[in-house]
Amino acid sequence: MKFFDLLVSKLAVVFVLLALAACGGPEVSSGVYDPYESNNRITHEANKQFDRGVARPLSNGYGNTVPSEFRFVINNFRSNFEEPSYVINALLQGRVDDALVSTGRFLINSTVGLLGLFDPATDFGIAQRDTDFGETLFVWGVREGAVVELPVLGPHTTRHAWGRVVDIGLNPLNIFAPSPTGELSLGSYVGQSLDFRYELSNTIDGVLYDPGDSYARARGLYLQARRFKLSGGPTEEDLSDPFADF
Amino acid sequence: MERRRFIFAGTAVAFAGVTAALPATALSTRSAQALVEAATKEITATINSGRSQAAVIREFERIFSRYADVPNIARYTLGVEARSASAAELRAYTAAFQGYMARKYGRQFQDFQGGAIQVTGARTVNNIVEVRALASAPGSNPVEVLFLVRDSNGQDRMFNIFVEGINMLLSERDEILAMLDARRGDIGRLTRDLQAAG
Repeated sequence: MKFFDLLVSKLAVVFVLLALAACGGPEVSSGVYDPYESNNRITHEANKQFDRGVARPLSNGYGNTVPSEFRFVINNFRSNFEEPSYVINALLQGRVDDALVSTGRFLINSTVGLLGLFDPATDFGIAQRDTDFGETLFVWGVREGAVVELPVLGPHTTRHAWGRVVDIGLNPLNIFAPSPTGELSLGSYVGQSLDFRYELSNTIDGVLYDPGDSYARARGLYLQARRFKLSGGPTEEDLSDPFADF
Repeated sequence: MERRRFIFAGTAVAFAGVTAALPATALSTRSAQALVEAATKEITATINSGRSQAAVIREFERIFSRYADVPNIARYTLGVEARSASAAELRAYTAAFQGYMARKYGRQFQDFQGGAIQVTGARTVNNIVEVRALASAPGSNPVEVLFLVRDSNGQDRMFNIFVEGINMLLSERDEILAMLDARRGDIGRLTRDLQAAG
């Protein structure tokens, strides 16, 4: 009963968002719309403090003490429970082939892969087709919105940020929370995040601590990567000769 | 189509007896892919060589200057300011920029140890060639990388890389223009500071 109630409330959220969705096809935005920049910069500085004081040292400790094989198992476990949200979002986007691939991966990795601790699907050549509710909103024609720097998570567009909220509810570990799946969800998420911070430490250090304006840098890199994911490839302008007028 | 016309034009020039005017190698989808394959092979070998970070950076600077269109990339990062710079200023800036890039990315490449780059295909668009590759490091999902190659004075040269959609050329220009702004457009000062940065 509880699960059914939750499902109904989640569907209600989906329909409200559907109603909010603008008409017209998806369009990848360009430029930077950052009306909350001064507040965002304050959050960015707080995030850097958090990284320097907590995330960076903790991830170094995690990476240096926990063997990579074990860290990868935690990442796999977390990723596997994201697959149902990939299926639902792909269906909401009308991408049936992606939904089938993600269903197949979830079934294979949950069984042969021992509850997702291993990722035999990828070894079989079935690569992950990750997506999120922010992308679903994009497909529905919802506009990108403003830049908003989220605590700990960094720069987002408002569309992406709302999408993340919905995706939390599409993860089975969260649906059946609190105990023990809630702890498993939070624990594996923290593990995966620390591993990410550790594996990309030089790159992330460069973005946050190289001289210059780290806020503008992080925002620019985020927007580029996000828009590329949504458009599925480079734009016509990306593929023109930038030195033509030299 | 574009390429065929180019070959016809080339043939006409050859018949006219001015073969020296023809470029040594004409950019083609295949030649650009070969260039990227050679470059990525050298890069991954360097990253996985187990040598010191200083040695990796030196090696990366050599690869960068060999395969990339460094003079044009450097000029592009200066935006319109490049037009007011003297030839000597541009030369000095280009050398400083090359070293800065090698140090910056040489350091970031440490994150890619144990990784491999697999070229998956290439196509020609607007006189440039887009070479697609998948970069995979152990334990993480493969990352899509696009290498863009153009003809630079008869030589195939890379001029941009997209890593998961991040346009390196644009990102570097943003960065350099902000630095130049902070130095009130003084390219000489930027050059000196870049020699120490990264």
